Amino acid sequence: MLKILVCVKQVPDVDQMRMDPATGNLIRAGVPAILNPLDANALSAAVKVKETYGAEITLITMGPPNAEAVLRECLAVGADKAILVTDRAFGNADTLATSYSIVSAAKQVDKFDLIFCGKETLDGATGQMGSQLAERFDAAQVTSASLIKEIDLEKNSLVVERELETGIETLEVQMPCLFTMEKTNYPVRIPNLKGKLAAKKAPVLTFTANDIPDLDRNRIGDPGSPTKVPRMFPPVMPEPGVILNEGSVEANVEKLLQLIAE
Amino acid sequence: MFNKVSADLIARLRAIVGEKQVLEGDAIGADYAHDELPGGAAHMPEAVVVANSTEAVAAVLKLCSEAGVAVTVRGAGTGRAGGSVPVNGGVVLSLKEMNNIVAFDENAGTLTVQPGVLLQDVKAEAEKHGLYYPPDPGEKTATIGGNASTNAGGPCAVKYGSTRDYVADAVVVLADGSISSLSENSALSAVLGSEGTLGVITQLTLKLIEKPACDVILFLPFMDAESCINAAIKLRESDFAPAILEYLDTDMVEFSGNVTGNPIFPIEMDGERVGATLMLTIEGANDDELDEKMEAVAELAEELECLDILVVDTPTLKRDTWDAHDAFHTSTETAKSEDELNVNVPAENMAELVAFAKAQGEEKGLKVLTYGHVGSGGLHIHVLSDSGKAEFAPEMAELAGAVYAKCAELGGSIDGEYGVGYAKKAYLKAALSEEQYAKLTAEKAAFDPKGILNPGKITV
Repeated sequence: MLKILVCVKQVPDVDQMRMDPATGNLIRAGVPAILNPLDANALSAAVKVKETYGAEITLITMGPPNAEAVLRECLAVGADKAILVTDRAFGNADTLATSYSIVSAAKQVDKFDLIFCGKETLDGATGQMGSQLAERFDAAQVTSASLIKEIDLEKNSLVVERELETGIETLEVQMPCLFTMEKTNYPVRIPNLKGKLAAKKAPVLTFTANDIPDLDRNRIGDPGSPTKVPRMFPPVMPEPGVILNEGSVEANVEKLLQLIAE
Repeated sequence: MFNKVSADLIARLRAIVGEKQVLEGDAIGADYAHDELPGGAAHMPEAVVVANSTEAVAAVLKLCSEAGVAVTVRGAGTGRAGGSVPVNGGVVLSLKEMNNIVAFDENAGTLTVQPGVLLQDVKAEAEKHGLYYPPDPGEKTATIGGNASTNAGGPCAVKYGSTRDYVADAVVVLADGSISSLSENSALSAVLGSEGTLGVITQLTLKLIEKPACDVILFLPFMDAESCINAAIKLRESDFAPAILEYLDTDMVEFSGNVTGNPIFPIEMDGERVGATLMLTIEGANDDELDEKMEAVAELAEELECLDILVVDTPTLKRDTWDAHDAFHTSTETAKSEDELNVNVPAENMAELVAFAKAQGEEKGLKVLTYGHVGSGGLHIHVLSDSGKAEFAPEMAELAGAVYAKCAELGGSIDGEYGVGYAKKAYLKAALSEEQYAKLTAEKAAFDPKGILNPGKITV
């Protein structure tokens, strides 16, 4: 049976988030945490593969203990197992440290044929995680994948489409393979009540730093993160345009001349 | 019947509201000639007066009444029955600049607003004070004055009622320019929902309520509309009082989902096409209470004959759900020709009216898409065609006549959420009993003896 890993992340609901213009800090108070939207599409793609070819889907996320909520959300729509990587030692990780931590934990659980990620996250939007994970899993990678067209279980290969600005590219790839998924073709699945209630009671496998043998402490969390963010600031928005509606063409022209003169 | 707007009248109107607040001739934007009624004709007013106070409205009405000039009140112009369209020319009285939040009374839990405040701003202001203003016909950029004049309800009317239930009192200017403060009496009740034909609302005090702590949306897919609507009726009478009970025709959600790219509602289950989906909202004080209520729905599932119970409980999915729902009436605008019939029909007869409208559409080669608020009986029937307007109009008129007649036969009313306006005027008389119609005309004569307020609408 195919073994699938789906990497998900809990992110703040950006639609409800504001930045403090004075400090540049994100105001997180009162902002709900949600499943990264493109990860939901990646999960839909994995569930579709499971429905078509049979598979076991394992979820993995790294974050604070309450990130368990997004795992349960994903369990409700067809994932079978969930791994939460959580420890203060993993805190302040950049993408390099995060990909190392996630792969270190995942390798404790299983060997995966297919790995699905969203193309990018709503908060960081670096788009780096998929490529880094593929390297660490020693898997082929298809970025911006939009359709898993066909899987040949005997040859261990897949035919996949990816979305490019210039068109659609069709690739044949060998497993293991990692996909960073686009939204196209895989709408978010809505859980049914049975799945929802089962997911509430499902076990979640938790890994702290101590639970991962041979974990290099210098490669996780803050010490393992060469990327530093010295400052954040909101972009300067251009002044909004003015619509002249003075009642007549003559009045509009007069107003326009006045504005130009100013 | 009405006098023309004279240069002298323009000058006197300007003396009341200010030079720039009165538009005439080419200065009047084309938007003042129509609302959002699909296929509605344009009727330009002779003048537009943008009023900014109750006193100004009173002075304008007094002047127009004396001059025998028609006055049509206008908010944001988002109506879909032609209610704010000046079919007799005359003056359009725009209240869009009367858009101040006047006061919040913490003890009474009321919010006093001017009529030009947008519904979305009323809701946001209520939320700012930790409270809730429930009525919501979907169009958040409509003005609260427009909502009051059509007694808008929307999906949550099944639990919370419509705008009329939330108006504690109102300041209303009558046709002769006299100002009245009306408080929860029969006069206020008559003015609310009268589409600006009885008086001009210049201030509203709205009752706000506690917002439920948490909620969940459920989708119950069914094989057909009838079992969906029947299930809604059973759930309406259950102990857990759903706040929303929406019947969604799969043809509607599929069409809209294709237009918006947000296909959130189920189209197929296990390879079979869903006939209709019931969307319901359950509210509770905490998650445990919601779980209990969901389990109660699950226990009823077999009896209800639903194909599954889908749970929408995350902020993202809830937002996608409401975005998809709110897009129904805009997505249909992408059809070459389209019109909408919006009626109220007893829930018990809604499935029959849906089937009738669909059969009428099929007979005429028109696509009929529907959705409805089962609790309150509000039903939206969208009619689409690939043919041009000239070919579509007579077919549509025939279908409308048949559907409105059937609606009346089934104990429904044709005013719906957008009111009667001019679009349904011709059908109203047939839909009402003689006694009901006489009551409307008597009310109009009592409030506005000269008939200058929004003529050409509802009855006159």
